Order: sequence, then C-alpha cells, then structure tokens
Amino acid sequence: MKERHEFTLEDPRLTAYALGELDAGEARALEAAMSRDESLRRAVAEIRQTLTMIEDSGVFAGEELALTTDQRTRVRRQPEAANTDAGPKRRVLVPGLRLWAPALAAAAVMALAFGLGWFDRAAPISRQNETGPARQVLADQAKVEAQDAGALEKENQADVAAELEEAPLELAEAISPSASMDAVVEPVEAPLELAESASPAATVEERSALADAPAPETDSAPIEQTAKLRQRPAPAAPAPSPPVAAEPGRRSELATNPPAPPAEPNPVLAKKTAGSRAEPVQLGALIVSAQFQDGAPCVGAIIRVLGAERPRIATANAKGKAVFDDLEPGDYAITANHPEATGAAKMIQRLAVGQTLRVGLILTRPPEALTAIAERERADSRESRKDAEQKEWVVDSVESPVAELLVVGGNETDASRPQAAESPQPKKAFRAIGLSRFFAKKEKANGLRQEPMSPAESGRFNTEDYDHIEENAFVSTLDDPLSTFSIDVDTASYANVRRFLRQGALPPADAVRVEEMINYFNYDDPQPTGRHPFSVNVAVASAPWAPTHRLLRLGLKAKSIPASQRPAANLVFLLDVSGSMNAANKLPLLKQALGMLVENLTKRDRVSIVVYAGAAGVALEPTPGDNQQAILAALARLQAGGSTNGGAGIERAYALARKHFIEGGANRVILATDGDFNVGVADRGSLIRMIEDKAKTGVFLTVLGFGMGNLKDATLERLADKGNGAYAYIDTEAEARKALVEEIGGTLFTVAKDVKIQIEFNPLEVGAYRLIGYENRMLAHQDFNDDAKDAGEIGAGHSITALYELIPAGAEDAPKVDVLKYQSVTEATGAAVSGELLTVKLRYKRPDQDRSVLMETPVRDEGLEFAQAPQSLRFAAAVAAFGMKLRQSKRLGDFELEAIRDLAEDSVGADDHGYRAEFLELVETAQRLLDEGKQR
Amino acid sequence: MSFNPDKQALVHDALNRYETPLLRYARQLLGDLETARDVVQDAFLQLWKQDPDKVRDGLSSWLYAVCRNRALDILRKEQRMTPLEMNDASMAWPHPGPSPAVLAEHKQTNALMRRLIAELPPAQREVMHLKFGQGMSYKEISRITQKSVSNVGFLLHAAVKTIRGHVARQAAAEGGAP
Repeated sequence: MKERHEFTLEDPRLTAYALGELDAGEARALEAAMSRDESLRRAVAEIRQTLTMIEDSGVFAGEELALTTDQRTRVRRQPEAANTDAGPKRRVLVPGLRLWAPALAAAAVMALAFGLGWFDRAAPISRQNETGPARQVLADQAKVEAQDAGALEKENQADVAAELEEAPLELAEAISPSASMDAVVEPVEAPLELAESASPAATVEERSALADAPAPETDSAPIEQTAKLRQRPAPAAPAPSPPVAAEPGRRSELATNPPAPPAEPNPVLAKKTAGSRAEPVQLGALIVSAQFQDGAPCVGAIIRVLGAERPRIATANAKGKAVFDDLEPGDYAITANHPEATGAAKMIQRLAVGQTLRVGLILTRPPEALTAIAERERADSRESRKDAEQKEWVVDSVESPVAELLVVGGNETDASRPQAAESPQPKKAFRAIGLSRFFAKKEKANGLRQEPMSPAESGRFNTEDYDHIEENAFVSTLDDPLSTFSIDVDTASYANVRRFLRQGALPPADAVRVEEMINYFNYDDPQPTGRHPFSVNVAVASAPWAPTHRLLRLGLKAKSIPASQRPAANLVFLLDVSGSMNAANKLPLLKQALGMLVENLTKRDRVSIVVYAGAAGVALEPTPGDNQQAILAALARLQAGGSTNGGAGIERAYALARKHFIEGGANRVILATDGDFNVGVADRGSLIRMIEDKAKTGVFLTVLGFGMGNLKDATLERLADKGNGAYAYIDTEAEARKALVEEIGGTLFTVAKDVKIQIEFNPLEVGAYRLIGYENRMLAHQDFNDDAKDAGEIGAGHSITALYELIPAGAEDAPKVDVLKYQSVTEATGAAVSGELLTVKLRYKRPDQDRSVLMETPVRDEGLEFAQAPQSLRFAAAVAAFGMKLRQSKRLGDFELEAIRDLAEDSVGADDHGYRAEFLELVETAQRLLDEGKQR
Repeated sequence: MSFNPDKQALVHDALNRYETPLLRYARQLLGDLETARDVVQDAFLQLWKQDPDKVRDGLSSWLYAVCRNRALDILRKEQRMTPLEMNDASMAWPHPGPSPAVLAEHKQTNALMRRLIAELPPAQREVMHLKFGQGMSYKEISRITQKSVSNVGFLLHAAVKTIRGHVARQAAAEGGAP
C-alpha cells in the first residue's frame, strides 16, 4: 500500500480529515505535516469552519417528509407477490446494480396492496369528541391507551401486530381467492361514497372549486401530469407478473391522489369487511388559506396540520392555499410558517365526521420586506405555479358541503417564537396559552406530544427546538383554591442557558425553564428522618421583587445514599454516534463523561454499551463495573458516523437492560444524544409510548443532552419525563462531573416516583397565587389522587424547590372576581379561621410500588421579611428572578439584574462546588449583554 | 402463501427508520415530492421481496441504492438529460434570492449557503446531501453511489472548497463595507 505523506492545500484528504474520515495512519501523517506547515493548519481550520457553517445553516436539516397515508398503508401490508413468487427472492438486488428487474412485479404488488389499502381506513377510531367535557374525554382516552399498552406489554408486540395485520389479508383472500387484479383493485382508496360519485376529471374540478373557485390553470394541469406519468414506459426487464396486471396498478399508484375510477365498486366486500373490523369512518377535511397581513397570498408557506396520527404538511399554492383531507374527527392545530413572516396558528376543535372547514391564517411580515418579496415572487411565479399544481393534489376527498370556519384562538399565535425580543402583548399571550394547553391535552390523550412549531420551522435557520412556555398567571383563590403539579428534577435548562450566555447571547425565552434553573442547585434542607424518603420544608417571606407579596418556598430533600450502601447498578449506555455527534463538545465529551461515571462503579455493577447511528449495535456486552479497562476501551473505540436511528437503538438497549435486570438495583438506560432522531414525529410518539411502557417494567431512563445548534430540547425532556428519569444537559467537563459523579445518586437511584404536589390555599389568607415555573408540569386537580397518572421522580440526594408568589387576601392588587349570579361563594370552614396559610399535600410512590403514599403539611405565615428568610429561600428567589428576567416576565416590574445579583451574592452560602459563584457570573454576563443590547 | 412476521418486522422497522430520510434523498434527486414518494414506496415494496436475513445488515445502503437507481431510471425515462440540474428548487425552498435587508445577518449567511449548495454540480450536491443531510460516512456514500471512496472524498472536498471560496469572498466584500 502506497502511502503519500505529502499534503498539498488542494488535497481532498484535508476535508476527509476534518470530517473524521481519514484513517488513523494518514491522520497522524497529516497532523505531523500540519505541525510543520502553517498554511496547512490554516487550510484545515478553514475547512472546519466551512463545515460548521454548512451544518449550522440547516440547509440539509430537511423537513419531516412522509409518504401519503395510502402509500404507507400499502407498504405496511405484505404484498402477495412477495411470497408467491420464488423468483425475486433469488434475484436479490445488489445495491447499486442498475438492474431493475422486478419493477413490473412491484407494480403488480402495488396493485394488490392498493386493493387492500382501505382496511386501514376502517381501523377503529373511537374518539368521543362529541360528548362530555373535553378534559374528561381526554382523560378517558388516556386510560384506554394505558390499558392497551399494558396488554401489549404482556405479549410479544410483533406477534400481536402480526395478528392484527393478517386478518384483513385473509379476508380479502376469502372474498377474491383468485386475487385477480380486477376484483381487488378498485373498491377503495377513497371512501365508498366518493368512489361512486365521479370520474377523476370531475372530481378534480370539484376539488379545485372547493379549494379555490377561480383556478383555471390548475384544472387541467394535474390531469396532464397524471397522463405523463402514466405513459412512463415500464422497464423492459423480465417480470414475474403479467404486464397487463401491472399497468392499472402502476397507474393507480402514480395517480395516488385522485380517487380511483369507480370501475365496479364492490359494496359487499366493503361492508362485510368493514363490519368485521369497525364502522367505516367518513373523514373530514380542512382547506387552509394563508395570507400576509396585507391580504397577499402567502405563497410557499409551509402549512402543517398537527394532531393527526402523523403531522400533515403541504406547501401553500399560488393562492396561498392548501387542502388536507382524510382527517379523522378530532382536534387539530394548523400552523403556517414562512421564512419572511411571523408564523401563525389556529386550532380547530372537534372537526366532525365528513365536515370540511375553511381556515384562514394571517402571517405578519415586516413592511420593509414587502418590496423585496414582491420582486422575488414575480421571479418565482412560474415555479410557484408549478408547485401549486402539484400541491393541489393533496386533496383526494371532500365529501360534504363546506361549512364556514369554526376556530378557537385568534389570527396569529406566537407559540413558536422563542427569540421574541419584545414582551408579549396580552392578547397574544392569551392565544399562546390556548395553544400550549391544547397540546398539553393532546399529549395526555395520545401519550405523545407533537411539536407545535419549532423555531427551526418558523425561522428555518436554527434547528434547536424548544417548546413554547407561557408563564403561569396569578390565580384567584376564590376561583381555584387548588394548585397541582408534578415535580421536575431536570436541570438541563440551566446548563443550556449558561451555554448561551457564555457564547455571548441571551437565551431564547423558551429555552429558560425557571424550575430547572432553581433545581440546578442544592439547598441545605435537612435529610429526612421519618419513614418518608424525603423531607418537606416550607418557608414564607416577602417577595423581593414585590414586597407586598409573599414568597413561599417548598423544598423537598431526598435521602442520600452513601456509596457503600447504594444498590447495584445495571446500566446500559445508549449512545448516539451518528454524524451529528461528530463535534468536540459531543462525542469526545460524552466519552469523557462516561469515563468519569465508570470510575465510580464496582464489581456488582453491570455496564453495557449500545450505539446507534445508521444501524444500532451492541458495542459492549454487559461487563462488570470493575472491569474498567474493557469499558473504557469500548468507549474509546466509538466513532461518529452515519445517520441517527434512535428507535432501534432504544429498543436494543431496553432489551439488554431487561435481560440483565438486577432485582432491587438501579436498572437504567442512559441515553446520550443531541436528540436529532431520524424517526418521524408519529414514530417519536410511539417511541415515547414505548419508553413509558418500559418504565413500568422497572427500567428507567436518564437522558443526557449534548451539543448545540441541533439540540432537540423538547424531545429529550419529554423522553426523560416519560421514562421516569432526569434530563441533564452536558456542555462541559464540569457539568459532566456534576451530573455523573457528584450527583450520581440522584441520576441513577430513584427513591420515590410519581411525586405530585397539591397545595390548597386558604382564601381567608391568600387572595391569589402564582406558581413560578413548572409550566409544563401542571396537572389537573383530579390527577393528584389518580395513581395511574405519571409524574416526576426523585433520585437519591436530590433537592427540589418550588416557589409560589402569593398575594395576601384583601390586598389591592389581588384579582377581583365578580359576584356569581347563581351560586354564593363557598363558605369558609372552621379550619380557614385557624390562620393557616395553606396546606401542602404530597403524593409519591416508592420505586417498586404502584400505590401512592399521601403526606400533608399545614403551613402558617410567620410574617418574615425577605432578609430574615432562610438562605435557601433567598437564593432560590434570586435564581427564580433571574429566570424570569431572561424570560422577560412582567412580574418582575422594575426589579433589575443588578438587584438579582445582589440577592444572589447575599445568599451564596457555603457553595462547596462553586456553582453559586458561577451563577453570579452568569447574572453579570447577562447584565453586560443587556447593556450592550441597549447601547446598540 | 404464508405470512412472514420476520419480513413484516423488517419492513415496518425500515419504514419507521428510513421513510423520512429516503424521501428527502429521493426528493433531492428528483426535485418533486410526489415522484419521490412513488420511488420510496417502490423501494419498500421491493423490500418485501427480499430475504430478510440477506438485506438486514446492509439495509440502509440497500434502500438508498434502490431509491437512487429508481430515481435515475425515472429521470432517464423522462429524458431529462441533465436531470439533477433541473431540481435546484428541491434543495432550496424557499427559492434562493436576495435576502431582504431586515433579515438578520446569520440568516443571510444561511441563505447564501443555500444558494451556494444549490449551485453545486449535481454529483457534488448529491454527496453533500448524503454526508450532511443523512450523516453518512464516505464508505456508505460510496456503496450507494457506486463511486469510489476517493472519488466521494474528492467531490466533497471540491464542494467544500467552492463554498469556502464564496464565503471568504463574501466576507472580504463585506469587510470593505461600513
């Protein structure tokens, strides 16, 4: 093998080196050459810089593309030809081989599969949207889903799925045993009524008319397009299936969207089969039109319909419209994004069966952009029209008269603008709350949560992803004396905020989760002494930013487990080694971090490593914790490369954890990633459901987030939340040490799970209250006593703090409530005159139990001034205020960063690890950045 | 004819994992989503016909290669002689154009990047897409595109060099401005 050790500036190996693609020998040679040659060093540095720019540009980030529902259905069914014909089996297509032999066979297969497509349509959809208060319905759904999940868990999921899927196939065979094309092709694709109604051309017109009445150009074009595709000659390779059969199949497959011509609908087949599975469902449709505020159509806007099993995406056509059909009855959110404008969103509640709704969205673009855009639009109009013609095909069935818009919410929502610089106007804030609640409900109902609009989508330039957070508002005690939430031990937000500040930027507001900032720190609450696994500590003093208000600190301290007593650990590291992890602050830091963790393991512990990228694989079979050499060697061997396929890896990791389960030990999958899973959003949902299921088997999940620019913060937090674990963001070696060495107990050993807090306020003492942070942890009051409801976990040694800002009863700024016409305000009980401020109720489960334990603590206000308050309250107040400031909260009034800094400085305390000192620095940095911003 | 759960698991798993990336890739090649969907659907239907044990290991390469061949096939059939050059729009939605002055500076950089990439020769753009969009290694790209590893390396290097040159010129031009 010849080795060239000469490197010129034009050598492709420089790029290969920067991409980590050079083999070790050549890399060493290049490094040696670089150490001698400055121009070579500079060239590599420039290449690296360019690579970073390319990666950061998001040009390749791509959208969540998906097959159409019908195509997916077709693909998921086993085509008959796959087994009947032994030929193709032997004719395995060698990758890259230009031989396209089985194309006709594929066409035949498609024709068949196509015929079976509609069974999926008839799949049971039992949303009960029409009845009962929405919340109850959603809760019921959640229960049903939970039961389903439980049932599945007992059996091999694949088998169950196979059984379900096989049924319709057999039925179809029974009805048309010969499986002749004619018999199977037509019935379906579109619901029966539609198939009977019209010829393709007529349907096209009807559709265009619905979507937009005057659309002369689009009327005929789609047909031409179909014709063109239809004429595409079939490859002249030998085919196992008769070409006659293939042709119609090919056509229907290409002309996916127009309903199949109703040759001979077979109502017997349809009804019989439908009846055997579920009632046939007529679906609804949405016609979305996006406009700029000046009325111009928002051509090219990306329109999404969220809430369906899979998000639906289309590009608005030349008239700013897009049509979505086949929507199951239910609630949807519709979002529109355009690179030049502020995104808009609307919610549709209870899209009814067979209903078609028109939805208008108005996007706001800055006036200066108008001229530039107008010019560009002229230039692009030809392309746009072409695009629009294709997009018109999104329609394939609009069954009922068009009802006029029924929407909740306003014309625009800021739900996805994390970087919003100005403070939100009240109106917008209201709408945004609506949206986030909408999604929270959806999440409960579906066990998954689909991102509303990520910043990546609205801005299209940054692929970091944060969920919108709307600050909790003051609630009048007369309106609602109860406040219920789940604890949150995550700390990721603080580390992420720190990363932003250190890079000289204020973090986007939605990246700041105040409770995670507060909980980053340890507070000096005492260890529990009784039978409960944590102590509950309460203090009340005046709020530093509003001296007439009271500030309540609720602190939980979980018992610490000394290293000698900690249970054995069965750890499966699930490591993302995809290409995106190929950066100094990702994989190398990850290796370093895990190295630290491993140092503290013993013989009783087990460590395995599963990696995932293009394919998932086991990099280290379960190995005793004291065999550090083997573990560290396996870590060292890891290399980044390939695309991310989190789903398969997670499954493998859980299987391994389950196989080597240690009874009474800490069984945990530790997922380390930048979170850019290459699974569709719907699959993300099933991923989350799977993690939820696995958590019930006693294998918990810890999520370590790495890197920047691509961090899917929202996904990771959700995974950890569902997996009974914590989410930490690791950006530095110090942070790795904190999460994996100093607080290893909390990271690995859970002392209580599903910890929920409910506070009942005494209306005679408290006029209104506001929970600071925990916005995405709020629970319905009835969920407090519902042991089936998942909530947060506490690990050994964890400190958890919640702060409430209280307005005393009778205070001037307490929210006023009108006297009710039909009922009197509930009378105070004897306990109310006791002078108690509130009662803290707490429920938790021991890690291996399913029944919760209730703790209750009444609290009195001793009337402390802020300065007299315990240090824990004072420091927590400083952190909370900082978080609120970064979120541009209006609650702080004119309480500035300088005052926050002083608060923090006064309450630094012992600060063993220097975390609080670091906090002071961050406040100062933010102060400097804000000042610079003002000067500019 | 028997139902093969093994096969079903393979196809369903493949669908879960590769649907979106394959569609992105196919659209990049073909320039339109509908045809890309046809191609990707074809590939998955093809997968049903394979022996699971034989394709499992090289599954992603197999799928990409099938999609690629199918896409090139279609482009050839439709006699688009310079097929990949007709699809700049696919890479670059929104269409590259002058950024309005109101857009922030980094947005300009990104728009520039988008345009530069859209202007690369098709072969370079394809490997760029596989490398950055799909996170593949040189070896994987080589398997799929039937180009040698060193050819892949050369294409990527050339693409990066072009972009680097443009960015540097741009920076120099802006450096002169106030």
